[in-house]
Amino acid sequence: MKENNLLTEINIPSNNDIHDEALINEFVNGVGKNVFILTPSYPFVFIGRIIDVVGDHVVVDVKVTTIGELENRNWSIHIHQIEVFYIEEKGMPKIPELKVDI
Amino acid sequence: MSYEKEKDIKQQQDLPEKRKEDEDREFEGMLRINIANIEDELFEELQGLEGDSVLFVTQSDQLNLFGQTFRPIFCGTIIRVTQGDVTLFPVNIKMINAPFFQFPTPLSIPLEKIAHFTPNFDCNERIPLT
Repeated sequence: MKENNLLTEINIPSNNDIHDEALINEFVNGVGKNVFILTPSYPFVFIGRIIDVVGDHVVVDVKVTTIGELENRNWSIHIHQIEVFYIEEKGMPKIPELKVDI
Repeated sequence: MSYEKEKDIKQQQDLPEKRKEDEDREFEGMLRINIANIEDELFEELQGLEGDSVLFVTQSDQLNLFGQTFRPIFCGTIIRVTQGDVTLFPVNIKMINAPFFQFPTPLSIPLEKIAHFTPNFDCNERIPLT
């Protein structure tokens, strides 16, 4: 029993790596689609079309964010910094114009 | 990776002799490295919860949706699970002044951002958010 406790098992790739890589794939599959992204860092919200995935960053043509001055430009967003997102799918609700306060 | 560790690795690369020494290092415990048969148990567990109502809390202290700050607490039905994320719809965001706010679209949560979750949670339940 005691010997068993000394055994450290390492998986390669680790669970964390698998999840991180699979998340990048979700964005690669979403190129050309509209996306809604929430991040804990400023400016918190991005809405726009996915243009490309570069490494572990997603490039979004941002149409709407919290700050008007930061809209209508390409933003490179670190995928692993994203807290919640929604990539628009056929047959699923469209991303609304979230301009108005809720 | 800490700065010191990074420095260590750099030094090892610069000095191949030192690296050789490192190979002789013995681990105190036994070490097994598994590169085949990788199981993703969390993914399998979440897949088993498809169709269930689950409460998720994610990592960050707060999020911000057009001026409204809220704690990242999401309750909804799992409609899709991949190895990277879990998608909820319909999904309820527990905002302090709107605890039953139903988000208009599905929401996907990266598996690595999940802090904790609890299955079979009734989303209509009132929970203090402070």
